[in-house]
Amino acid sequence: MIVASFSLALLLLAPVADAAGVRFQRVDLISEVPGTFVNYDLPMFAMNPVTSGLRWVEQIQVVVDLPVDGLSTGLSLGAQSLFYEQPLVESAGLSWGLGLQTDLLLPKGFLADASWRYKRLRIGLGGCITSGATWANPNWSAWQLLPTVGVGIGRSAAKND
Amino acid sequence: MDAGYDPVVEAHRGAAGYWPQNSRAAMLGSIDAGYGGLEFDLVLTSDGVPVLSHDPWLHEDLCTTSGGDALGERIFIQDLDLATLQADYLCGGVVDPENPDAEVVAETTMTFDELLEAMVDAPDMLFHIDIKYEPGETPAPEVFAAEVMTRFADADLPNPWFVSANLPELVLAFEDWGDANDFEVDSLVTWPRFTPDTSDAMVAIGNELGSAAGVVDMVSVAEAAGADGVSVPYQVIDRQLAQFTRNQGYFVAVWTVNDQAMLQALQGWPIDAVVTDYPELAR
Repeated sequence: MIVASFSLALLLLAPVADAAGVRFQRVDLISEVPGTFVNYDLPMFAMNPVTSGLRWVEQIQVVVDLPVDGLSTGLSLGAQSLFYEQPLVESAGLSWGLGLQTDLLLPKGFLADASWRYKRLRIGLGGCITSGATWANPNWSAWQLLPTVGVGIGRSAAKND
Repeated sequence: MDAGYDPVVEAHRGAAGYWPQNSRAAMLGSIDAGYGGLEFDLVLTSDGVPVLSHDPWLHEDLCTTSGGDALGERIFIQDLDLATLQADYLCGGVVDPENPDAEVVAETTMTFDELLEAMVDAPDMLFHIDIKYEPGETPAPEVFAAEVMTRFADADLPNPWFVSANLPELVLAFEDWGDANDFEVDSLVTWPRFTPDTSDAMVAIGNELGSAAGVVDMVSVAEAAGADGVSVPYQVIDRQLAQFTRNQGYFVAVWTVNDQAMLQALQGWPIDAVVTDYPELAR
């Protein structure tokens, strides 16, 4: 339901986004931001399926390209990110990237990854360092480093496709 | 299992999976079994005596008159003095549908004083007092705090302990009592707040989304209540949030986990205590 509403909103906003130079890139079904789903919630799925399912929905991220080369932004119910990505070995579909994670625009952490694209599939591997800061408790004293895995589906890897 | 964490496994209501909840049999059985912690609920009689009961009333299904008849109506414990409660009612003598394998033992209601005496035999056991303030159904928070804490302080037990409360005003009353009497009170506030008018699922989902968006977290909840930590149902616990909460010096207790796989998984989480009806599952 939430995903369907989100997708419909994106569809309706597509012409506006196009005019602003913003272009849909992909949907991450497994997102590297904030990275807690794979590390913590997926292993609990059999024991606590409702919560794990809800947290899966929360982390589904829609990524759109911004009108600056290599820059994109991701939006999910649980986080927003600004991401800069450049080719590493273009012929092999490999890229590197650095990102900023926010919670309702509150800076929360950083992400670094390497990704591989094949046709419409993007797989990312990296690390995310996240603080405990929230709007309710804006305290950046505690940090946690997590390995991340991302699986996204979107536009074909070929540019201007 | 992750290394580095070893939350205390608490017997919920005295291990309600094995004995009638909050009963004398449960408390003495848990002490005898040597569980890591003992969680129980207190309410006050009309003459101000703390007794063990989850609800402010006698449980309609699990309690009877001393003659074995069904109660027939809701009887509030705050309307009975201790002598009447002990003489006229028994609890635990009926199979508990939520814990059908638990022993069935009809008993008078246990007092907090009796439990404090029994705890002398378990000086290392974590003592978790859970109190629910329901306006109109239970005495005022200050009365609760005074009656419970005076007895607890007088017992002078060496046990680690804390009190958890469903409402911030109850936490505040216990902390105020501690300040006024120069007694260190460790308190937890229950989060999220479940109310009779809202479905638990809606509360949990709202809490989950607020937490995911970063507009609410356990540290701010504990801070706002003046508590030393939070008591959280397992359905909403978030491991990273628990880690950050502990890193900032707050205590995290998770309830009530009765699935063995989950209980064992949580023993590797950055939490301080996990509450279960079946503490043997964690052994």
